[in-house]
Amino acid sequence: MKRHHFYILLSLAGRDRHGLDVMRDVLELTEGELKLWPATLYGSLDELVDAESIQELADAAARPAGESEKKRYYRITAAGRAALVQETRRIEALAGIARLRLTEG
Amino acid sequence: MPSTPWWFAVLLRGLPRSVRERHGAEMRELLFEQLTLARAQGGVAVALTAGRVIRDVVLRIPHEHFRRLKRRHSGDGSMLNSLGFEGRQAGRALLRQPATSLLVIAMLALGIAANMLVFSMINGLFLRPLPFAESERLVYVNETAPKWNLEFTGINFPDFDLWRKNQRAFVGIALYGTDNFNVAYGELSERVEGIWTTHDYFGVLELKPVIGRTFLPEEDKPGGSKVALISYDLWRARYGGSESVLGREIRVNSASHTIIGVLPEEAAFPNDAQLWVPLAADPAQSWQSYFLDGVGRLKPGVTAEDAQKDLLRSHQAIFEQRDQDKTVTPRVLPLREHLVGEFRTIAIVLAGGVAIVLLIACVNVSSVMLARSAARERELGIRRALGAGTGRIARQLLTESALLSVAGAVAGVLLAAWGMQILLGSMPEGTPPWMHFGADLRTVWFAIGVAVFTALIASLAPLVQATRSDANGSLAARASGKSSPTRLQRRTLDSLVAAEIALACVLLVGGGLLLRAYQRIQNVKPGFNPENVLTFRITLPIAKYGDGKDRVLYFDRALESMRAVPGVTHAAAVTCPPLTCHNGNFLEIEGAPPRQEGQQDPVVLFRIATPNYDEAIGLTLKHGRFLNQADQVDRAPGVIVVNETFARTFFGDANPLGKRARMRGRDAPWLTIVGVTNDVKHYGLDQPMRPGIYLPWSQSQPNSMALVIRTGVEPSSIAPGARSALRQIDPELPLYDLRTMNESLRNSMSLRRMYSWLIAVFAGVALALAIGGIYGVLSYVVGQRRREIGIRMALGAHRGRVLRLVLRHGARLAAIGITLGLLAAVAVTRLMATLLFGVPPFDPVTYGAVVGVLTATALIAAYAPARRAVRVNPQTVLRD
Repeated sequence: MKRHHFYILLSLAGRDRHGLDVMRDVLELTEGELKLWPATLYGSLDELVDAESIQELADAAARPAGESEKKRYYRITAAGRAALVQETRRIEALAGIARLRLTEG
Repeated sequence: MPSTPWWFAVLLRGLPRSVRERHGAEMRELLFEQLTLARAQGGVAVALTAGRVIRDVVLRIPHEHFRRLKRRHSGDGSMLNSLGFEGRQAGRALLRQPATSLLVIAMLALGIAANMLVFSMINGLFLRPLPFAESERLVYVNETAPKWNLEFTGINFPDFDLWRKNQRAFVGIALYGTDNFNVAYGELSERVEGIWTTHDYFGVLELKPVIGRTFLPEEDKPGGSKVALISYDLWRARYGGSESVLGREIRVNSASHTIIGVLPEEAAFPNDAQLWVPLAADPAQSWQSYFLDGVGRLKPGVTAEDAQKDLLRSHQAIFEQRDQDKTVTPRVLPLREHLVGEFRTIAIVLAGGVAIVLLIACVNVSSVMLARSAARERELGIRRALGAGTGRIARQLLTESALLSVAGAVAGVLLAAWGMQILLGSMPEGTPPWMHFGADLRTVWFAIGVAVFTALIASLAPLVQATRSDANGSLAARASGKSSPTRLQRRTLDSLVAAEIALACVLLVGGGLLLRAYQRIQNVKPGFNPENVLTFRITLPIAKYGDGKDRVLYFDRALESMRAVPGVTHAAAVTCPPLTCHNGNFLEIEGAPPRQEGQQDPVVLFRIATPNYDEAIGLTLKHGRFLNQADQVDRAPGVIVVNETFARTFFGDANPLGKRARMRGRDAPWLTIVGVTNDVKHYGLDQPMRPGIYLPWSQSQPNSMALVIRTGVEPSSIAPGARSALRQIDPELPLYDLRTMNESLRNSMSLRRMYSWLIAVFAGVALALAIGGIYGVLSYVVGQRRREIGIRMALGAHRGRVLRLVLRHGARLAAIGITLGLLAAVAVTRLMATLLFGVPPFDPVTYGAVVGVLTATALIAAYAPARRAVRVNPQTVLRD
């Protein structure tokens, strides 16, 4: 999984968000390390929608209360959540192996 | 919503429309947030962020387009795959012949760069809207007097007042006059450009102040309260952008004014205005003074002609009261035409020039590509035999030229950006602030359009070629690789080269004529000696120097102190030194017969000068004497010194000394002519001279004079000494327009120099491209005819004969091209007649030189391939 896809899914796993909100959240998650630039962010959101990992909230009822209608909101799907879990496991496993190697050395 | 930086808007255009529509607004907001965050960390962070964003979008653009295509053809990847395949295939084909590809890219880059450059200028002058709302409805208003030989007389305020009351065609009309003001803020004083306006000026231009308000009608009346508007720049520089500026006092020409508002940056029009003050003119004024400019906003659907008729109707009362001859009439023309009309011919000539360069580049690329495709016939034949359809082959060739054009366009844009820097550096002094020549969306579209155009033209010939040749024939014929090009190919190539030479010929003739004109003007004698002369201007505020005697006293003291500055040999003062202002008037000659009906009444250039002015500027006295000290005294008998044009115009061959003249229309005293000087090129080296006179102080005591200082040393070196000497007389007075006479001469020529050299450079580029074309095509033909040449030589043909064969081929192409080119040049250069300063459009020297240069270079370009043909070894060729 691409790095920014991972972070976008992770951000949406918490709650539904719009693009700008995702950018801010990822910036905070990574302690300022990963800044999602405009074309990459919105391109990735489209890609994730195409892959059915996330969905765009179409109706007003689904939107978080009090949020503007101009912005597009995204929600993670079951498939997206599964992919995220799988990727997290992979990273965990990888981290485990790495830790083992490093302590051995 | 905060405004989006223009570069981001341009970048977004690169993304597919669907993406833009879905996310554009949010992307802008995101960018704004990122830029805001970066701004807190300083300028470097902003630049870095902008750089990252540009990189992000640019890298993403192809990806997004690919994704869009993929989605559209989901389930059917064939089209996409084929596109990718063709791209790779084309790239590989181009890399196989890197020299040819580079050559093509370089030729396209030159052509595109030249076009971008000229387009930026045309865009800045004619296409980009003026910085005002609905600027196409703005018109320039003035008065015209053909009988006085004046296109614009300037507007007389009472005339305007009448128009304003009676007109029906305008939403509003206003008057303005540009001027320079001495401005003092406490201790500090400076000279700024500014504008006198009627109160409705800002409404007509639809300018809203940044803070404060504009003038009220009651402030625009004689005796109205003294108020001023300042520019955004002045507000930032002198008041730190503080709102407390409203109500502050500012001294304008030594009179206190209250600042009531700040105007936005686009208000700097038509000069680099920093200050606006009400005109406060009196409609009941008894004297006639034609000097103001007018601007109007038309009602929707009204044309400039309608508006002119409307003003003429409003003007009837004036014809009846005081202008029964109907000498002065209103004149209305679109504002842009007034501002840039004089550049139209230049722009057309330049645009024609670059279009020719681009055409040559295209023809050249076309012939190179044709030669290439002919050489690749075997490869294409094989592909066709393997089942590639004509469409597929055509698509490959198109993809190849598309790749080349894109590369050429990118290189061309970079080249143009560099050229633009040089060009802006050589812009004439005083280019008004509303003229911008930077890139905008129109430039981007133009670049894309040019690139697409060149891609199409460049691939036309090979395309026709590729679709005509049949698979079997070419495969069989080319299997051995020993064939020569077909008749059709050769004829196409030959006509392309001839066309190139013809186009280059037109451009060379045009460039040659312009350079001849430029050279001729440079040899024009200015009528004065510009070496070692420094000029600068001082304007005395009427509030402090209201009495004419005080003004005379000031300038006398100033000149005295100048003569004491080391290195100064002569110091004098004049109202208008050469190449600067114009002050025209009409004279009545004593005893002259009354003018005939319809006879022109020449305007006379008035200059008030001190004694020694003739020595300071370097005039030649033809008869009599120049003004002397005795003439300057109050109530001295009135005398004038006239120029040769004056003497010729009014007295023909008769001796003008002792004759008398006076100002018309008033009970003015008669002035005796005491001397005749030579003519000075007052309006520019390429402009005709009017009759002109010099008057002494005793007639009039102007408050603004230019000091003319002749030195024995480098003239600019005395500027600091002059400045400090003048400060001792009156510390509040700034001196301005400081320049050497040689600088003034150079400035007056800078526009002509710029376009003449541009056309000459384009002609040079065209020549280089044409040489490349001849060389390339002949090399190719020689390469293809090696076998034939070998056989001829084996059969006993002499080397000289072979050499002549190839050279004759080159000469024939040159002859056809030059003949066609000369015919076209004769037709085209007629359009340039106004720029040629008396050089005949059929100047034999230029035409002869062009024929010589083109013939010589064509033969040189043909010589290298000819040498190669001679070196063909018959045995090797026959063995193959």
